[in-house]
Amino acid sequence: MNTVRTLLHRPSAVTALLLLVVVAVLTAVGDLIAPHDPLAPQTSQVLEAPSAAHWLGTDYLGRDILSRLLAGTRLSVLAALEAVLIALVLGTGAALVAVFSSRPVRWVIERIFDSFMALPFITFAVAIGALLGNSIHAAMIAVGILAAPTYFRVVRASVLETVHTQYVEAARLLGVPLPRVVLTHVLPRIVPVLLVTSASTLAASLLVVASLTFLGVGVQPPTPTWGGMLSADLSYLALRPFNPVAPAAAIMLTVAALGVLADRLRDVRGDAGAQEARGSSTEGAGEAAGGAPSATSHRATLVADGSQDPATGTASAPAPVVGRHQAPHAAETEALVEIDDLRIEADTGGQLVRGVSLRVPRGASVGILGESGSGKSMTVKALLGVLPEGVHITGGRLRFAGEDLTAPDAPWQELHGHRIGAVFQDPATWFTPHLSVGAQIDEVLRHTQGLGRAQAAAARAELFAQVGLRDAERVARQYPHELSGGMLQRVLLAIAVSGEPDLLVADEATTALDVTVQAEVLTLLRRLRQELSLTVLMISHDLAVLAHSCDYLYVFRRGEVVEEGPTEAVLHMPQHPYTRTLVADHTVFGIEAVRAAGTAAQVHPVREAASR
Amino acid sequence: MRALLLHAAARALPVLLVTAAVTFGLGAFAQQEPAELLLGEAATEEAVAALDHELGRDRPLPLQFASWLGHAVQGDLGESWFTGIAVTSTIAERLPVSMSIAGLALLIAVVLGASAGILAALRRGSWIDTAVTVTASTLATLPPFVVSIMLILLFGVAVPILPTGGYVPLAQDPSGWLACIILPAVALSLEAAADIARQLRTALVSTLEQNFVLGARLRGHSGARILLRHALPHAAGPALSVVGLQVPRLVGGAIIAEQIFSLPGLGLMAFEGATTGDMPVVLGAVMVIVLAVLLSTFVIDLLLTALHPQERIAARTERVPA
Repeated sequence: MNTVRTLLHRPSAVTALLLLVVVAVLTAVGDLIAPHDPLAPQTSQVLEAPSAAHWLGTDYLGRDILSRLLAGTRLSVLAALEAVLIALVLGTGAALVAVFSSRPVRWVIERIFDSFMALPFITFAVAIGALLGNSIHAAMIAVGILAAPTYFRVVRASVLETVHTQYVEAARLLGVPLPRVVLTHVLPRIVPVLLVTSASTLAASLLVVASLTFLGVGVQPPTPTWGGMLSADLSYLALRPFNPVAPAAAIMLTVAALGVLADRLRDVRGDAGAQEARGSSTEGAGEAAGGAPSATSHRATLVADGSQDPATGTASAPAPVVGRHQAPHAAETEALVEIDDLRIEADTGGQLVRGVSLRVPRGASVGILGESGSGKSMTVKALLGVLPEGVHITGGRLRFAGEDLTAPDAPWQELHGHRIGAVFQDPATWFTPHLSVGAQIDEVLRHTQGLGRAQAAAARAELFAQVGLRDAERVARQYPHELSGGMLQRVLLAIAVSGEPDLLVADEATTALDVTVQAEVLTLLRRLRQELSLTVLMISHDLAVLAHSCDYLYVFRRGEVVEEGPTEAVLHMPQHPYTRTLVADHTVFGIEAVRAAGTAAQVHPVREAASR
Repeated sequence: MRALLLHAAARALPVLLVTAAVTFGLGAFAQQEPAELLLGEAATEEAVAALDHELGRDRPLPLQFASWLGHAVQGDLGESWFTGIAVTSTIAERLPVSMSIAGLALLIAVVLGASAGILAALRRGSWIDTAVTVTASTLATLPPFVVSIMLILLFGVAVPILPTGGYVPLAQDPSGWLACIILPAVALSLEAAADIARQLRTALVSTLEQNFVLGARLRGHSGARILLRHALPHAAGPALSVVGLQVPRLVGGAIIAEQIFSLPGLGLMAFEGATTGDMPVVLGAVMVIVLAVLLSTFVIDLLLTALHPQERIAARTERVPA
C-alpha cells in the first residue's frame, strides 16, 4: 500500500499508469469504439491523407487507420499478456520447486532454464509460430517459455533471501507445512519483485508480438494488429510516409509506459532498501559520503547528547578554541601545513568546517582527534585537494610549504604522488581490484616517479623491504583481495612514501584493523617517520592511537577546533569538557588505556626520543 | 584455458541438445505434410508414402531425431525437403550475410554505447548526461523495425542515398557491401547501444566514487590513465554482460531486418523454412544461430573473467570438483 502511495507521488509514474489504463480500455472495447469498420475495404478511398472522416487517413485497401489501430490493440496486448502469464507461472513455479527440492532436481531445473536464456527470442518464436500452422498462441507459448528464466532467476534469488530470514526458519522449525510457509511468508514478499519483472517482461513481449505480427506470423491478413499495420505501410512508404507513425507510436508509448513503471517500481523498492542500508552504515561510510545530510544527522545526534557539553552545545557561530594550552608548539619552526580560519560548506547549505586553524611544523607528528562529522576528514580532503562533489572551501587559507592550495591553479600535480602521500581506513578499497598489487606500485614508480622498468623493480623491492613485507616477489604478483588488511596497508604506505614526500597523511589508517596489526602499522609509521624524516599528520577518532604517535594534538568537534596542545598536556590537563570526557572515558573503561600501555611499553623509548 | 573451454562446452551442449529436441519435437507436432506440399493434393497415397520413406519420415520420431543428430555431429545437416540442396551449403551462403549485419550492428552498438556512456558518466549532471540518458531511454522503446522504417524513410525516400534492399558480398564490392548493410546494422544496433550506454554510465558513475579512483588521483596519475586503466575495466563488467544479453536479441532482430531490407540471411532462412515446414532447413538455421550466440557468450565470459580476478579465482576453485 505504501508502495502505491509513493508511486502516485511521481508524475512520471502517474502518466505511465494513465497511459496503460487507456491501453487496457482499448484492449477491452477498442473495436467497439472504432469510428469505422476496421475490416471493410473501401476501394474508392485507398491511401487517403488524414481528413475529418479519417483522422489518420486510410491504408492501401481504403480501411480507416484509426479504427484499425484501436481494434488492433486487443490482439497486440492480449498476446503479450498471454506470454507474460505463461512465463510467470512457469518461472515462479519452477523457482519454488527448485529452491525446496533436492540438489539433483535443482541442478536439472537450473540447467534447463540456463539453456532457455541462450536462445534468441524472436528467431525461436518465429520458427515455432510458423511451424505450428501460423498460430499466435503457439508463438506466445514459445515466448512465454523463453521469458520464464527471467522470472526463475529473480524469484529464486528473492525466495532464497526470504527463506533464510529468521521468521521463516522459525516457522519451519515449528512444523508449519512447507506449502503454508510459502503461501503466507514467501509469496507476499516476492510480489513487488514479480511486479517489476512483469512490467518489463510485458514490454519485451509487446515488442516480440509486434515483431511477429510485422512478419505476418500467427495472424491472418484482415485481422488488425499494430505490427501488421506497420508491415503493410512499409510497401507504400514513398506514397504515404507518415502512415507508420500511428502504429509505431502506439507500440512505443505502451512499451515506454511499461518501462517507466518498472523503473519507478524499482526505485520505490530501491529507496526502501537504501534507507535500511543507510541506517546500518558505519560511521566511516557516513563520513566518506561527506554530503550535508550525513553531516547534519551527526550534528543532530551530537546535539541530542550535548547535555554534558553546555559550552558549545547550541553555539552556531564559530566558538573560540576553549582549551588552548600554554606554550603553543614551535611557532618559530617552519610550518609545512598552515591552515587559517578554513571554512568548508556543502552546496546544500551544511557547514562542515567552521573556521579551523592548525599548523603542522616540518618534521613534527601532529594528530587530529574527533568523531565522525567533526570535520576532520573534510579538512584533510581539502588539504589533499580531493573534496567530494558539492563540497567547497568557502573561506580561509590553506597553505602547503608556502603554496596557496585554495588558488584555482594550485599545483596538485606536483603534490599528488610526490610531496604528499596519504593512507586511509579500509586499505582494500584503495586498490584497483583488477590490477595486481605489484602492477599498481610499479605504475606509480614508472609514471609518477618517472623510473624505468628495471629501476622501478629495484625501487619496489627496496620499498617493500622498508615497510617490512617479506616475500616481496610473491606479494607483488597477488591481487588486492588475496592479501590481508595489514599487508595492504603496508603496501599503501610503500606507495605513499614512494615519492619521498614531505608530508604523510594517515587518515584513520589503523581503524578497523586487528589490535595487533594496528600496533604493527603504528610502529611502522613511526619508523618510516624517522627513517625518511617525514612530517606526519594523523587523523583518528581513537585517543589511544594518537596519544602514542603524535607530539601535538588538535581536538575537532562540529567543524571547529575545541582544544589543542602538546599531547602530554591534552592528556593530563584537558581544558575543554569534551576532551575531558574523552580522556575520562579512557581511564574509566580502561580498554584503550590498557592497549595503549601494552603497545606503548615497546615503543616508549621512540616517543621519548622524539619528544626530547 | 582448457578448463574454461571444457566448462563452456559443458554449458553449450545441453543448450544445443535442448534446442534441437524442442525444434524437432514442435516440427513433428505441427504435422505439416511436406509430401502433400511437394506432390500436390492430387498425389496418390502410394506416392506420398514413397516420398515419406525417401525423406525418412516413416520411421518413429526418436529414430528420426537420432539419425538427424548422428549426421549433424558429423557436420551433415541433411538436405532441404523441397529443393534438395544441402542445408550446409545454404548456410555457407547465408551465414556471411547474417554475420555482416550482426557484426556491424554489434560494433556500432559498442562504439556508440560505450562513448555515450563514458561521456555521460564523466560529465554527470551536465546537459550531455541528460541528453544521453533521455536519448537512451527513448531508443530502448524503439523496436528495430520501427527504426528500420525511419531509416528507410530518411535515406531511402527523403534523401535516397542508400539502397534499402539487397546484398552485395564483401569480396565483390566492399563499398557496395557496406552500403547494403549499414542501414539494417544501424537499425539493429540502436537498442543495444542505448542499453550499453545506460549500464556503462551507471557502473562508471559508481566506480568513479570508489576509493581506489581517489587513490589513483592521490598517487598523481593522469585523468586519462585513471579512466582507462583503473575505472573503465572495473565498470565494464555490467556493460559487457549487457552485450552478452544483447547478442541473442541482435540475432533475433536480424530476422526482421533481413525481411525489411530483403537480405538473404540465416533468420530469413529459418523463417521461410518454418512457413513451409521444411524441417532440415529450420533445424539447420536455428542450430547455427544458437551456436553463434553461444560462441559470443563464451567470448564475453572470457573477457569478464579477464577483467575480474576475484571471480577468476572463485570460478577456478568452484570448477575443480566438477
